[in-house]
Amino acid sequence: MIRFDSVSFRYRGDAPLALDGVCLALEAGELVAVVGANGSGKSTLARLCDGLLEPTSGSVTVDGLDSVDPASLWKVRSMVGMVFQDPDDQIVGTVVEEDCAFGPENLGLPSDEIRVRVDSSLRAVGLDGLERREPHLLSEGQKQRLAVAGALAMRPRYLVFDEPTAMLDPVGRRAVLEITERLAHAEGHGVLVVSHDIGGVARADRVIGLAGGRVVFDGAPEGLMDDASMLLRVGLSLPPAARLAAALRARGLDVPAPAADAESVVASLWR
Amino acid sequence: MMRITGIGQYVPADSPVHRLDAAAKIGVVAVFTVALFLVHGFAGLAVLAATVAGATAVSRVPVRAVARGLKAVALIMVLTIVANALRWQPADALVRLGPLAVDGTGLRTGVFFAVRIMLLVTGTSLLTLTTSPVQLAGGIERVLAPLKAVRVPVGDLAMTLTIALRFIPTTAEEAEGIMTAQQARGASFDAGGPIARARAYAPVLVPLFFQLFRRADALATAMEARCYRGSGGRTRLVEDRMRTADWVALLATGTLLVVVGVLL
Ligand SMILES: Nc1ncnc2c1ncn2[C@@H]1O[C@H](COP(=O)(O)OP(=O)(O)O)[C@@H](O)[C@H]1O
Ligand SMILES: [Mg+2]
Repeated sequence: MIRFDSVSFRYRGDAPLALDGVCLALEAGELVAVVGANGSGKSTLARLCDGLLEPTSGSVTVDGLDSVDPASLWKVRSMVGMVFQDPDDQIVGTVVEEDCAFGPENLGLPSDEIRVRVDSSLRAVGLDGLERREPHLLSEGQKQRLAVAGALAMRPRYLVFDEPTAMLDPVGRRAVLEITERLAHAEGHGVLVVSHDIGGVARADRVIGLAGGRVVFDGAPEGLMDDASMLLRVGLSLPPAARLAAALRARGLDVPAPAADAESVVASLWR
Repeated sequence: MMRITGIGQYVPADSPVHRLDAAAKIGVVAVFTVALFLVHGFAGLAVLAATVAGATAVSRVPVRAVARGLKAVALIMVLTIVANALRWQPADALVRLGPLAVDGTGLRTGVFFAVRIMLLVTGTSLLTLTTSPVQLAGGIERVLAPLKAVRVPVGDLAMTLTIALRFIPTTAEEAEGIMTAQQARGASFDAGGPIARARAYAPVLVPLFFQLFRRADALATAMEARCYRGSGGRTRLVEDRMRTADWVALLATGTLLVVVGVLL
């Protein structure tokens, strides 16, 4: 479990709090979405998960290990995989397999073990067959999947995605979101996805809403989608179909809540 | 745009030269260069030239690619010959052009030096032509490994080199994007003299550098998140090492050095 215990954080001594008294927990096998307007502290929260930032007060623990204790810091980083927004900011290898191997190489694993992990991670994101491809010849979606494979190759228990779909087209977006869902529900990772993507929110088991560095919502996606003022507060706007579904639900029609697309609204009305 | 000149640029192929270990090839080139400086007669030079020609043939690198490197030094070669051959009223002139004359011994010296430059360029470019940049970086790391004893961060330098190689295409794309954006606002990159043209690039370089620094910062964070903490304790997916063929190549070049430097 990744646990935040009243975590506050400021970037500089005189800066306002970027996070203010955040308490939350992420269990293995759980898919949690984090939403919030720009500057609400989402990236700060993500970076605190594996000790890239040190809490100003409070503590972050990963399976009981303190995220900033020098004795456990590197263990924590190998347990929490990170995927950032721009894939070009995180690919260090000159060919696909070499990049995927970067994490395991840093862990000092033997070559044959690295090979096994690289092959299985690339297969998990559907990049097998492209081992020798240069990263700049990949599509943005493929690059982002490579970043996911690079994180997976460390065999982490938790994965934290910071707006992983922001640079992708709809096809690439769906592929990455499907991977996040599979990693949580089929493979038992604890997955935290920072996302503006309503589709990503609807898939989540739980949504955490941030505003001004505070947790203002922590609950099921249905609860958020039905609360127009809360949606506004966390900077989300529903797609037309979901807005229609929410309005119908408000008037007592039985439309299932995480209905982010027209198809599922129609399906539920047509019974 | 960002045109890469192609001198000594890696030509992928499956040849015995390509398969040699990068560290061994660096050693071979180093020994060959020493031999080139020790050689003092045309006989020795001929042996070395035959070696380069043989290695080029075995490497299956197109002669054109090797010749491209020569074009860059052609002027230096010509100047070397001319500077050595032309004398002011020499005793034994081959051809006289007024008071200037082409001197026999001078001409021999000039040609000797020119061929030496030619072999130096073709020999060393064969290294980069047959070794991928990443393997080369790995090879340099292993060759320089002894310097770790005196605290030179060889591994970190090799990592830096690899990342620089990784980001050349990305940076080129970025520069292209910025230039297109500037052109859309009426900037022109090929009008005016060289100074006007250089000045037109300033609005490209400033945002490009800004981008590079931002990216370097983000990349450092991402590398830390993937447990990079300096090169110590790192292992590799592909552990390159010297095999029999590599030792044979190194030994053969060493023998060549002795033959050329001492006997010929
Ligand atoms: N490196 C930094 N230095 C100083 N302030 C920062 C830095 N990164 C973010 N901030 C500030 O912290 C707050 C939260 O930022 P961030 O976590 O990036 O928000 P989000 O990811 O939700 O857009 C913002 O007010 C932002 O200006
Ligand atoms: Mg952010």
